[in-house]
Amino acid sequence: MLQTAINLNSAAALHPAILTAASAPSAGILQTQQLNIHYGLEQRLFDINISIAERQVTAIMGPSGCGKSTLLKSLNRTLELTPGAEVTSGSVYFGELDIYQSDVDARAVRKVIGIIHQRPQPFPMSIEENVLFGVRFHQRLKRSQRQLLAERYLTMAGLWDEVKDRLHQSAHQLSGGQQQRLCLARTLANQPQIILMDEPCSSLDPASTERIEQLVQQLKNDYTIVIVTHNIAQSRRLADQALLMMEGRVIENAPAAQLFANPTTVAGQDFLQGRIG
Amino acid sequence: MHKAEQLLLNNRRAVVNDRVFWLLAWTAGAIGLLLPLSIIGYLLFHGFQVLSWSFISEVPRGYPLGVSGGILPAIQGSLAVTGLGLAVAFPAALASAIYLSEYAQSQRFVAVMRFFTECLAAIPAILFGVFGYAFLVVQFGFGISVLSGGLTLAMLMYPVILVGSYSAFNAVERPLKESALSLGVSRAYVIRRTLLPKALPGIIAATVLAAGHAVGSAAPVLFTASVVQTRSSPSLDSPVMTLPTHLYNLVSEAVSFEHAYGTAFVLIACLLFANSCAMMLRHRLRK
Amino acid sequence: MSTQVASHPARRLGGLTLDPLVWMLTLLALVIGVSTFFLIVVYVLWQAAGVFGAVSLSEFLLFEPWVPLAEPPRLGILHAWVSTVYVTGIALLVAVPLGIVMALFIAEIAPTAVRNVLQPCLEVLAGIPSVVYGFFGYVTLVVWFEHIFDMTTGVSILAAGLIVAVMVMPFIVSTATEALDAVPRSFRETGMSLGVTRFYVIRRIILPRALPGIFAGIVLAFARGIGETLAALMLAGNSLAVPKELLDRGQTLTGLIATELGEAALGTEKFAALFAASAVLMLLILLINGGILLIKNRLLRHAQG
Ligand SMILES: Nc1ncnc2c1ncn2[C@@H]1O[C@H](COP(=O)(O)OP(=O)(O)O)[C@@H](O)[C@H]1O
Ligand SMILES: [Mg+2]
Repeated sequence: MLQTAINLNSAAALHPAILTAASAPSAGILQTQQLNIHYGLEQRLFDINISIAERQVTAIMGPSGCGKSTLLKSLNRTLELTPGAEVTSGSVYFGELDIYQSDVDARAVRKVIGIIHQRPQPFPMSIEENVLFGVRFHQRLKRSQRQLLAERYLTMAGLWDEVKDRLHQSAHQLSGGQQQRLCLARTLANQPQIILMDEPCSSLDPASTERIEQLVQQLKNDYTIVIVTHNIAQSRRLADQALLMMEGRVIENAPAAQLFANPTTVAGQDFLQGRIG
Repeated sequence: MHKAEQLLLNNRRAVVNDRVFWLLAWTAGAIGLLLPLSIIGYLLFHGFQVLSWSFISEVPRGYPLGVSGGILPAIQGSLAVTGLGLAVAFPAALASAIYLSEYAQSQRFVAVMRFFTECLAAIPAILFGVFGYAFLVVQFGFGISVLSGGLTLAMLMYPVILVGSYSAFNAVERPLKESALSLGVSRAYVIRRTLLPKALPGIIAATVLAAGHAVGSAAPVLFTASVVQTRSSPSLDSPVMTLPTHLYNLVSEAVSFEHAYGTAFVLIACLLFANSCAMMLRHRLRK
Repeated sequence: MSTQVASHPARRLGGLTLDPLVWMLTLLALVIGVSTFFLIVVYVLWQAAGVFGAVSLSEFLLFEPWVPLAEPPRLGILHAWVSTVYVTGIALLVAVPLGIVMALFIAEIAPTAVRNVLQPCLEVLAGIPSVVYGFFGYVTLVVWFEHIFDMTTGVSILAAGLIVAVMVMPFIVSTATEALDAVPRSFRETGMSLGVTRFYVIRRIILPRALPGIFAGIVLAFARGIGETLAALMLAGNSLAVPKELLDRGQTLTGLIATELGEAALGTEKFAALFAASAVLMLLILLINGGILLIKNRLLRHAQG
């Protein structure tokens, strides 16, 4: 019964006209075309053309300030929540649908393409309420469904065993790593197809980092994952595809093994050998 | 495909709620803008028609008094009581703020003093009037006079100026103070040379606002300083006319609405002057 | 501390620094200034005590009418505090919802430019003197009431309440805006990134978080409302009857004090009764303000660790 309530996602949900979107996985489920982004008058991203393959982990690397977070946020229309930030030209295709098209509801995009931020941000409410925050908006839940759903997504995020006795206590008492997994559960509960992760481990200890990495490995069977990371070793472990950015441009874009073996640019070589960043 | 439509449908109610909220919020914003503009505009428009040089510079005439002539004694009286109040409250409040922010050793003492200061500020104007009447006018025998009214207004302004000056001192960056002190000069010297100049705009802003508020406040002077009419110019031991009580008399005795508009105009002008001074000072402070 | 280093000779006054003198003078100013608070409180209570030779507390508050000229004088303030509650109640009923939505507009929706215009406008609204509000209400609301409700005179509890609403609203807006601004910005972005509406984020996260601050603002606005004098005096109608309806005339506690004080001689029971009315007002306001201040200080100390 729960199964039917879940899995509502396809591009059709965003735009009724497109019923067969995302049906050409070879072209990538998420693609950008000549994407240019400004903060105020300052251009920060230049002519981004990338393609994200379905059910794979794509890692975005680059020195800090090169525009990784900006790119990531532009992929699910959360960039426009930052005052001054603007996609000045280009498009982002989810399947065959341009998510920046004027009749697309940004909120539906954000539901289908979830995002996890660098710093875990639990809301000031109970653990269960945190998990169900988005779900309770997107669909009507019976009281009896709540605990079941919370359990399902907390389990998927590997947190259930640690919090099952205190679902109704404040989420702020959790450790940093637990909070980050709670945020993951909250995003998963929205039933996204794609999960964007912005340096999800950068504020966590090594043990928590390993937990998150394991989760990414599991989740990639069902979800498309884009992960921004500062950590070259981490993207070696996780990524199928890897991108390298430098000063607002994508300078390397290749299957991970290939990119790490022989980067094509000098800057790429420098970065991978730790001379930049 | 059914399920996809369900998603849109479920969202729709919330989206409508969001729209309604957005609309309500903008409406409230418009009210917040229109209300002050229309009240001020209404009073200024009507007042402006009454205003003339003679209205400002002549004494009230006619029968009942105030139907013609001007409001000069009220302006003089208001200036006198507020001026005396400031002369007492400003140095006292400034000194108190200096003690609290620079000399006080114990945080607890500062907190307790601030607590009582804010309690003093919370006492409504009418109670200052009641106290001033019984204590100063009657018991001390100061009579209904500029002295009684000025002291009453001083009590009203003191906590406001104190709190404002205290936060102005606290806003001065600590490193500045510390580095000045580490040069080995006295605290008093540091206060005069580095703190006061830095904090002055904030202190003056608080003082101007407090004085602007005091000028318009009728309740504290109603029984301590004001009478319906005076002929002589203000002196310390004589009663005076003041702008707010004059306005009150004109309206409550239905003497002259025209002159009431004119008096209200002058009061609003004082308010706008005080507020724009404070705004400019705060603006400069931010730079 | 580093002040042990000898002072620069030029900064000394006959070999002494000014510090002890300044220290003493500033402390003196502070002690005198703050003690006026205690002086006022004690004096008002002392004068008020005189009334309880004439009437009991319950008679004073609940049963006696206000007929000071009767022999012996009858000194009850029931009509006054009922009027005060009415007027302030109406004021809050209008000002609280409007003020909260306005604060939400300022803190959550308005573009910075609009906010920068709106806030000074509301500051001006808050600064208009009470007597000017009274006059304004007299020439607008009261006149309209006479037309609309066909009253002989439009002064009424409702007119006073509506004007007091305008007077306390800016205060509610500014305290509520402050409370909303104190909610970390990141909650908004993270909340919205889950695909929900702004209103949902406000309702589920921001309002609950800001609620204590907003509530404190409302309570403080109540305290301001009951202390409001001139507008209430000019608009409520100065009637000694206990008001029953919105369009009845009435006389607030502050109005009672302002009307009668000038005619009361020191030492009489009437004078004491007016002080007792003042004491009721004062204690209520101090209780509210003191309580809120204490709670806020306690919270601040908690937040600091
Ligand atoms: N809110 C903002 N306003 C203005 N400039 C910004 C803002 N956020 C980021 N930038 C600028 O955009 C560039 C890219 O930032 P970001 O995407 O956060 O980099 P990264 O995530 O790779 O460290 C940086 O140069 C940064 O200074
Ligand atoms: Mg970043």
